[in-house]
Amino acid sequence: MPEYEHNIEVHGLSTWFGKKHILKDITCYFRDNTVTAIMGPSGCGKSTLLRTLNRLNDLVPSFRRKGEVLFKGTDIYGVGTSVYDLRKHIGMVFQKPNPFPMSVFDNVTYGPKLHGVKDEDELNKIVETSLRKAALWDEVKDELQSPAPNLSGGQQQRLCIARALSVDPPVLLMDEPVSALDPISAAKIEELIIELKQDYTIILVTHNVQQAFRVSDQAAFLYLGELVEFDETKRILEAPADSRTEAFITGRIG
Amino acid sequence: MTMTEENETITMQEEEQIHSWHSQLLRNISKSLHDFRMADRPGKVDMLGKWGLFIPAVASTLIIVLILAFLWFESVPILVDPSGGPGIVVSPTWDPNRDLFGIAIFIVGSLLCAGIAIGLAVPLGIGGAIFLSEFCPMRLRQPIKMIIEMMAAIPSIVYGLWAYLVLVPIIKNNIAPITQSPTNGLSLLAGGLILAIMLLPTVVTISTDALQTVPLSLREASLALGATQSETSRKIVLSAALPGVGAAVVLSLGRAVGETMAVLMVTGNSLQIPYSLFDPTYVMTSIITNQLGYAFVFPLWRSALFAVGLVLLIMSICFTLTAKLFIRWGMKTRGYI
Amino acid sequence: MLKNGESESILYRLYALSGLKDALKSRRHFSDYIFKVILGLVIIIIVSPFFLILFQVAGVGFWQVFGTGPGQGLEFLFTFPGAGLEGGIRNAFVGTVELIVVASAVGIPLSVCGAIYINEYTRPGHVRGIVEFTSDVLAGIPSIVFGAFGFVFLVDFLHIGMGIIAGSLTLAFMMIPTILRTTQEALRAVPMSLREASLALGATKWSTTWNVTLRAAFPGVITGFLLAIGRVMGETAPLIFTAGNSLIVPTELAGPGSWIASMPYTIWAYISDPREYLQVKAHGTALALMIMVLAIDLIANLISRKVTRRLV
Repeated sequence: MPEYEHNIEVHGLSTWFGKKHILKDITCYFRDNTVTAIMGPSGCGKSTLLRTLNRLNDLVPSFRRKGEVLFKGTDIYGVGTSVYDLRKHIGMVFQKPNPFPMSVFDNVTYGPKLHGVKDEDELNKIVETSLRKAALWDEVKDELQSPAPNLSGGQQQRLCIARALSVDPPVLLMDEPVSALDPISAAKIEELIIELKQDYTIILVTHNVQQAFRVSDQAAFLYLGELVEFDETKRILEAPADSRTEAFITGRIG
Repeated sequence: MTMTEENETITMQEEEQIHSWHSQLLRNISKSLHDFRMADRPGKVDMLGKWGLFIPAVASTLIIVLILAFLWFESVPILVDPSGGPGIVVSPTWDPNRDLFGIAIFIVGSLLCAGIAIGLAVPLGIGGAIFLSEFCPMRLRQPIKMIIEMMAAIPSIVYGLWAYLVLVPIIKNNIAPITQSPTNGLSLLAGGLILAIMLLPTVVTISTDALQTVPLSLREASLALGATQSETSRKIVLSAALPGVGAAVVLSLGRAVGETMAVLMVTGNSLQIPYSLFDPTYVMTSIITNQLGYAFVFPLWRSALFAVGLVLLIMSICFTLTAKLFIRWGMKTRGYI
Repeated sequence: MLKNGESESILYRLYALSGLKDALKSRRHFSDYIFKVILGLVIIIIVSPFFLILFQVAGVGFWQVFGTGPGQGLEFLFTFPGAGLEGGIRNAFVGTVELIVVASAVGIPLSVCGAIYINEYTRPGHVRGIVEFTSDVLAGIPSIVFGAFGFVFLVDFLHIGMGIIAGSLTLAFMMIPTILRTTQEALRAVPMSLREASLALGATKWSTTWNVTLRAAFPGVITGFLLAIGRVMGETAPLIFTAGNSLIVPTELAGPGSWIASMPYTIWAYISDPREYLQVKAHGTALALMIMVLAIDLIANLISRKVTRRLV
């Protein structure tokens, strides 16, 4: 029995960009094998929260933080943590598909190669499993060497998911992964997310209440940097406890 | 009575004529005034603007055509002369007194100098560009960029002055003794070094711009996979910016071959193919600068110098074309440059 | 492992600032750190020639430009060459200014009109492609080729003869691509909505272009002028066979009376001369030229930065 309860826990997290207070004292946790949706109107800090979880905000010089983010029981901002190893364990998929300007194969092997996988057979295996998991294998298996930017938008995004899965992270962060796609590709990716939750802890930032309802098991509602509600998605959407949540769900704030 | 009538009729006719003449003039004037006033409506002046501006627009095209034409016609005598011919580009002997006009040594000299300069400036320049675009603290970035832009603005004669008075003695007294090469410092190495220094601003500036157009999301994707910043900048940013960096390299190669004053002052200008870094050399731009003044009354000599100019021109056009191809490649494969 | 409270101490902060904290975590952290340090050194190598050159030129030439003795300071710029260190470089200073003024008078209208034509009156396609391509080619042509062309076309073929006209026309040819492309960039940056607003008020394309578009693009256009002027001001090679040289300021438009000196040419002539006082004068001229060119470049920089800041 591990000493931690959930893969990722957030304790009293506050963040600032310069003088701007973005997140205000957030405490929540993300269960394993669950999709957690982070909802909220634009500018409420949901992307910031997500990026704090894999320390991608470290790149912003004016970023400051207080509070703890625990990954498997250790503080990811602690002195002993290697940020590069951390990011290996916490994968991320971005809003817009952003394949590297190289072949499909190289896109998927980029991560494993960084972390020391050199064996050709192993890399081939990783490519196949990752692409299969991302439901892309059948579409691209014959053109693994073609440049990734030539794929369609939906395929590119699934490739990005495969790329994130290639280093086998237990946690997957998704920053509005379908908002830049057409409805059909979006539906495919939503399906994929539901499938993936069997093996991964998925944290999904979304702007879209319906999507949260379809995909997620638990949800956090952020408003102006405050965590307003955090509970089962069904409960929040059916009987919001806070008037702000209700306003968001019914479309009065967004 | 009749007289008056006649008179009247004449005057009336005259008046009518005068009147019609007047009115025609008036009508003409008012029409052109009207046109001028109505010029503010679509139509005539727009057409005037269109064609009046067309000529300045093609000025640069015209100048290129003229340069090509004049260099070509000036080069024809040596190219059709039995002692010359197109073979001069591979013939190594330049001796105007014996009507030998081989320009191979100048081409070799130029390429060697440019090669050394590129070999030094490209790795350093790309490194500097990566530093500026990826790692440089915000507070330092602007001042450094400004200094580098100023370096690009320093006249080449000033670089030449510095190289002649500082770099050449250093090579003579401090660097050459290491290999015990006899040299007065005026050498291929001096030319290559000063050229490298002069190219660095170009390489850095264009490469930095190319690196900065690489979308942030690619960097984030790489970092999110656990890449370090240096891995990201080498494997993702640099490869994504490759077309732009390639264009920077080709453009600076063009500048290296075409640079005149600084190289002229430090390469020693000796009619030989250099076999070591400390040998003097003679580049294409230098031979034109040094000899056109004397040669212009000797048809063949003068023509051979213009042939050198033609080679320079063709090379620079090729470099510009290649740079454009790099940019097109970037637009095609990356969607940005 | 440090507790949260300790991480606030000054020593710890210094340690964190040096980046060593992370560098020692693993091999990959360390190589990342080394890579950054090496690139930092590279940038120092890249900018150091600027200071070395400034040190050399200002070290010898400073008193020529800023001193108050005979032949120094303003006297250096505004008296004609005299014996020894006396006298200045008025011929070269005035020559450079005159060459630039005439070259600008020809080059600026030509290239601005050209840029307006291809940006406002053509659609992307053949004409625009050809003009853009040829100006890029023109920008890449070695300056000595311009010199040789100016010599054979202007001096020889058109019988203009060496002097201020041939020299400044050659410089004007060199200015065209820079101004044309920067003006075009500036025009392109003017939002379409601005033009449409003017056209919607019933203005013609002509008046829209001159009164709205060009005015909005003006700072960018000025930047182009300055960059082009700064560039050709330091050119020697195009002038060697087209401008001649002179100890006085040109008094005629043709013939030997129109021969004209320039600062870069003067530097070249003085530096190859073994007499020491001429070397000092060469440094003084180089310093004055550098100050002029860098000042122009700096102003161009400031203007373009101000413009980008306003647009962003």
